[in-house]
Order: sequence, then C-alpha cells, then structure tokens
Amino acid sequence: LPPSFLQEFSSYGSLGQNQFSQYYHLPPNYTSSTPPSADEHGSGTGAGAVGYSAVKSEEAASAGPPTGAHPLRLTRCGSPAAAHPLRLTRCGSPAGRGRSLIVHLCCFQRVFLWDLDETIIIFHSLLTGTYAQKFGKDPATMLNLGLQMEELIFELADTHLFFNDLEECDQVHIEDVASDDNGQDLSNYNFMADGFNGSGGAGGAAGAAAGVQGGVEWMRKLAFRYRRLKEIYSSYKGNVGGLLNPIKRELLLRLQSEIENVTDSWLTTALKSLLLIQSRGKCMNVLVTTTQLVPALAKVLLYGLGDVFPIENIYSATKIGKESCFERIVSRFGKKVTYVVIGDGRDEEFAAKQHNMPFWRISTHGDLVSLHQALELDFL
Amino acid sequence: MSMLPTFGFTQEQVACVCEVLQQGGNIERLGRFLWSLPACEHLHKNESVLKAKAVVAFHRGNFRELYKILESHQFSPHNHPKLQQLWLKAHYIEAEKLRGRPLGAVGKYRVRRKFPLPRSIWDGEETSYCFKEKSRSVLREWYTHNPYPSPREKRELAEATGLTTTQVSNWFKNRRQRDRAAEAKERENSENSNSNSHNLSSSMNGNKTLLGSSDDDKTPSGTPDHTSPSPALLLGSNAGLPSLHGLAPPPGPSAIPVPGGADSVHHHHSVHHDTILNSMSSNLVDLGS
Repeated sequence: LPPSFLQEFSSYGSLGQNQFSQYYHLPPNYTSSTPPSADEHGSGTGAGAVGYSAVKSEEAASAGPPTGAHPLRLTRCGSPAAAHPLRLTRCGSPAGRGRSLIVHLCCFQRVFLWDLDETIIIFHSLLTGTYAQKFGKDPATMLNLGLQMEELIFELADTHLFFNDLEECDQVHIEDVASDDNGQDLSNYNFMADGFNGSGGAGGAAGAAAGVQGGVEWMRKLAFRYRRLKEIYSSYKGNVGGLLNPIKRELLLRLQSEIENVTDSWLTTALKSLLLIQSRGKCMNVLVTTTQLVPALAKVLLYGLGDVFPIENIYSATKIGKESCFERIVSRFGKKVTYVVIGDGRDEEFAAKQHNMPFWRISTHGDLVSLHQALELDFL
Repeated sequence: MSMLPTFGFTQEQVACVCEVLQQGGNIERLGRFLWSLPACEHLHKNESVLKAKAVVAFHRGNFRELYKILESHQFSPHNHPKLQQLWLKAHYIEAEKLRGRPLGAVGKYRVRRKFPLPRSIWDGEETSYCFKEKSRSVLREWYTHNPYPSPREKRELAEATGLTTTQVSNWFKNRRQRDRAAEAKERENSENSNSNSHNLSSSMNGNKTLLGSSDDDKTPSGTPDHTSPSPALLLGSNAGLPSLHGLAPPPGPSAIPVPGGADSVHHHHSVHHDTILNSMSSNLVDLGS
C-alpha cells in the first residue's frame, strides 16, 4: 500500500494521533501528515451500514471525522503493509447500548487475553497473605506494601477517575455509554457541579431532578465522565506521576520498586512478554479483569502498564463474567484470529475452555519465564 | 530456533502451544515444535500432542502415519469432529489419486463405506450431514406441512436454505421414499405379529411387480403375449400397419394381448374382464386424439 494511505489513517479526524501510536510501533518512515484533501466519500461517518460499508474502500476510509453518537473508529495494526495482506474486520461489540463501531484493518494473528491480578501484577495476594505463604515471604511486609498500594489506587480512582460518581454504574468497557454522549466540548465543563450525583452545586429542586438516575440528561453526564476518563488515561498512561502530588509521586516510585523486590520482579518478568507481543504488531494484548473498570484503570496506571494496554483493550468482567467478556472480544476481533488466555486459573481457565481457547496458566515465576521463552521461540 | 538445554515446558504448556499453533494454522512451526519435544512417553500420549501430530501428518501427506495415530488412541468427543475430517479427507485424497480424477458424492460414499471411521475418533452415533442443520430443519419443517412442494415452493425453499432446487427436490424425493420404506417396514413388522393378512395388498403388489417388469423390458412388437400398457403398442403389434393416423386394424385375438393390460396399470386386476370391445374403443379414442 502506498504510504499516503497509512498517513491518512494516522491523522484520522478528531481522534488524534496518540490514539493510534499507542497501539503499535509505527515504522519510522510514517509521519503524521495533514488530513487528506480528497473527500469523495463524504458520508463515511457514523456507525451501522453506512460507516461499515464506507471503510471497504480505501478512499472512503479517509473521510471526515465521526459525528454523533456512534463514532466510526479506525484502528490499524502496525505490521508493515507489504508483508501482510490487509484485511478488514468489523469489531463492533454486540448488543447493548453505547457501542462505537471499531473497525480493524487487520492482519491480526493473535490476541492475548490477560488476567490482571496475580498474573501480571501482584496486589491482591499481598493483602491476603497468600503470596507470602506461597513464596515464603514475610507476610507483614507484604501486607504493608499492599495496603499502601491500595490506598494509592483508591485515591487516584476517587480524585481523578470519577470513582465516587461511577462506582454504582460500573461498565464493562470504556465505550459502553458512548452512545449517550452528544460530543459537546468538555474543556470547560464542571464535573463537580453538574448535578450528576444529586448533590450538585445548584442544590435544591434543580439539583435533585438532575440527580435522577437513568434519565436522558443523567446518561449524558455519565457519558461525559467516561469520555473524560478516556482522555485522562490516554494523557497520563505513560506518566501517572503527573496526576499525583510530589509526595505521592515519590511514594509510588518507592512502592513500585519495593513490590518488585519482594515479588522477585514478577511484574518485570510479565512485562517482557507483554512488550514482546506488542512489538510484533500482528498481535494484541487485551486485559480482562474481575476488578471494576475504574479501579482497574487506576491499577493499570499505577503499576505502569498504561503504555501496554490502550484503554479500549481493557474489559471489566465484574458484571458479566469472563465468558461473556471473551465473547465480546471475539466478536470484536473475529474468529480468524487465534486467542490465547493467560491467567492464574479460576474464571479465566473455565471461560477459555468454553470458547475453545488455549490457556496458559501462571502460578509461579517460572510460568512467566516459560511464557516469554515460548514467545521468543515463536511457539505462541 | 534454538533448543533449550533442559526442556522448560510443562505438559500443560506443551499442550497449549500445540493448540495455539494448530488454531493459528502454523503447521510448519507445529511440526518443528513437535520434533523438538523430549522423548517422554507420557508427553507423547497427551491428547493435544497427538492431535497436533495427526494434523502435521495430514499436512505432510503422511497418511499412513495419520491413520496410525487416529486409531492408536481414544480421543475425547470434543476432538472427534476435527479428527473425523482428517480421516475422511485423507482417504478421499488417496482414492482420488487412484481414480485419477476428483470424487463425486457417490465416490465419497463408497470410500466411507470401505474405510469406516474408527471408534477411537467416532462414538458410533455422531453423524455429520452435508447440509447445514439450519437448512435441514427448514426442510423438515416444510415436509411436515406438505411433503409435495410445488416447483415454485421448491424454488422458495432453495432460496431459504441456500441449496439448489435440484438438491431440494432430491431431499424431498429421498425423504418420501424413506418414509414409505419405513412405513412399509413398520406395517410388515406389525403384520407378522398379526394373524391377519390382506390378499388384496399382496396381489396388488404382485401386479405392480409384473407390470413394473414389463415396463422396464423392451416390449418387442412381435410378441402379443406380452402385457403392454401402451395402446400404441397394441396397435404396433400388428406389424406393417401404420401408426396412429392409420385405421385401427381389425381386432384379432392375437392383436390384443391381455385386454385389461393397459388399464391394469391404473385399475389393477378389476379390469381384467373388460371386453375386447372396450379395449378397442379406447384404442379408437387414442387414434382420434
């Protein structure tokens, strides 16, 4: 494909280049250029039939920015076009409100479905003492570290990620309420006083009315929050310290380092595999966790995984379970892709079996090391 | 690809790799992976590993090896469909090579008869049909309402099922025939346990057979003894006379073999007592048409 085609993608509409560059490593000769002037297929917006068919031709794909509730979003996987034939697959999520149609220009081969706790990061087992017990560590030290991390997680979630507002209306995926969004500019929007949780600045009757759950206006405010969440995540995923005051920043750095110490570099080892997968370009890392979405985002940011998991690739299975999450992911990436489930057992193993997906169990460091070796040897 | 000094993968991990490479269609790589496995007997009896070996053997055209693997180990049901496909495809390919040209449906049927699925990959019950379950259920549903769809209805059915009208026609024809056969067998079974028997039905059958065979036989014009269903043939049995446009020949005993012959097709033996006159008039009628 001519380079200009891919340039058009990388500067697609209002989504910004960051959105794309985080997904993959662009070869150095790709530069972000101005949007294409040609706009023969001006109607290439919106979801549903129009949007979907529009991307079937290369010209249409470069049409104007998305409008309305169903932005048509294009993502490109990063393998050099010459090596692999491009394939268009539809990856809109199935039934339910608020799905934006994500169309992958794909030559995807593998999608790795990762569990979070006790697979990539060690957090929960610090608190419960199971890690200490299993690997012969001092429980008190571990507990202390766990508690400090927990405090940071919930502070970040409450302060910057709207957890107070969103705790009761948890979503599976960041895009799930996007259809209720009206796209208005949020740069000067006051989230503190818009009456979302009934205790808004207006107070009185107006505040109470606006706080009714489920109303159209309330849904819109909900959607604003998730949109802002997305923006915040994308901005700080490589630098969560920017969201914290200097003291907390220091604390976080110390905590990260100490946790790595006592867990014998668990996270570092896991990261090797994650980065290797990411560097392949034809492979994707997806996170499926039983933590609620907002705290999960906080965990990902604080453990430094923001650059590995774009926010669109994070799913919370709290409400619907891992099996259903997997189903959503399969309908997003298609059946031609090979899925590999990586987790420490329980739900993910069962869910993998239900979907006939191969499962790689993580119980010890050795399993993470073997995983990395298998990836290096191209066995996976 | 370098080999590890001590093989670092657990059996579970080996199985996972086998599944991933199979699902990803990376058969070459799978073959290399299998070759690199340590010679541990337990490992090589793992079902995922055996399945992988089967797939690699098929891919390489090593069918002897494939059959050996498929027959050597009792595979769990969820792997049956894929392994059955391997077995069948390999046999089809071998048969086609012998034949020198592609196999049709009948050819494949014969192959399946000759090389039945081993019980290691088949539970004796699982059948895989040619038509999708969805299509089959549409056809079955229709059949219960009307076993004789009109040509237009067949076209509609073809569209609804994604089949051709010929396929639809054949499906209905076969279904009716098999239903009839099943029903006849049912009746035969209940008759055998019954002391009753219907004379009529047995002689009816007899008649049908007789007429059936005469239908199949070529009826030489010079043998008036033959039961001939066709009035034209009756005429023709008088050699030398012109066809329909000519006048009816004077009836002679030889000219009209079994008077009720033609009618028997429709009215069985009840018409045997027809007079010659009757038959003649029917001939005359035919002449006129």
